[in-house]
Amino acid sequence: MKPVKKTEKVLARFDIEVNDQQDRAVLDKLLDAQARRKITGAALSVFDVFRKMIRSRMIQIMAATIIIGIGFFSVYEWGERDAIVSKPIPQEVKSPADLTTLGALRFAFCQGGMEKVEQMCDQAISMSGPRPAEISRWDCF
Amino acid sequence: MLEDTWLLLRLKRGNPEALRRLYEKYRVYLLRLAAALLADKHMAEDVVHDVFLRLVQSADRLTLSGSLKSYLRTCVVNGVRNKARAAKIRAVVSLEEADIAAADTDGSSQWIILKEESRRIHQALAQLPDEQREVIALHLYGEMKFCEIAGLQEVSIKTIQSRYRYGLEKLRLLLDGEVET
Repeated sequence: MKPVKKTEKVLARFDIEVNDQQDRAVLDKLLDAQARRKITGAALSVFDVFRKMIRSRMIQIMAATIIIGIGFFSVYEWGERDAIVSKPIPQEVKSPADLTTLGALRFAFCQGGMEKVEQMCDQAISMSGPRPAEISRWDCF
Repeated sequence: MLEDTWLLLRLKRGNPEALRRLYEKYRVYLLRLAAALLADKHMAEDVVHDVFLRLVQSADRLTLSGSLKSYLRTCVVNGVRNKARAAKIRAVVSLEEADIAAADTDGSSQWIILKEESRRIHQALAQLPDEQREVIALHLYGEMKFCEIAGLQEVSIKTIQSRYRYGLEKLRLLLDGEVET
């Protein structure tokens, strides 16, 4: 047999045995480390899930879309509100007789003074149709 | 291989039985390799212990491209190198130092027990230069091919083969009596 083969054969006899007591102690330590890791893992599971979610490209795109959508919606909503506020409130249409009652005129005077009273009178006259030129609007009352 | 994959999957889920099985399957192989790579048995024990501990702690993040056995073997080799570098010790110790190290082998605190013949081989291995010892240990006890060792040590296969040959020659001289028998 060649010297190399002989040496390899001798070296192959190098073997180890393990101390059972120490072996068990090491295994116990490893099992203990595994149990501790499991507890820590459970405690961090929610955080881990959140972290993984944040890292996901899809989730990032979805979150960005939602934020942009909310932004657009709020701007649109604000514009709508402005439009509603600026729109004139339709006034209730009343007959000339109703417009010129004592109560209605007094109420108009309280709201806007003589100008408001005149406005109401003009409205009542215009509603009652055309009148001859020689008759002034004050003659109507 | 298939069994390892299954065991690793179960280990990732924190199964203690999978850990027990992996430990029993690979501890002797890794201890033998570490003991052959390091002159100090205490350090060899530490390295293997650390490798198993890291496996447990990082099991859920572990993704293997090769076999679990080669992964553990590489971990041991890296651990041995780090240990030797950190402690700034010479991996080759004198025969007397090796004797002292071997003397307390039979104590109950020891994990590795070497019999007389194995102890002599261990002492002989300890006298080899680092590169030669690593090649011999990885080839004979790590069951690695020369091309794999060449990749690990980042040298050519020719260099590995010559290191192996010179190492064996030196061991033959050191173990003269045993080789002749």
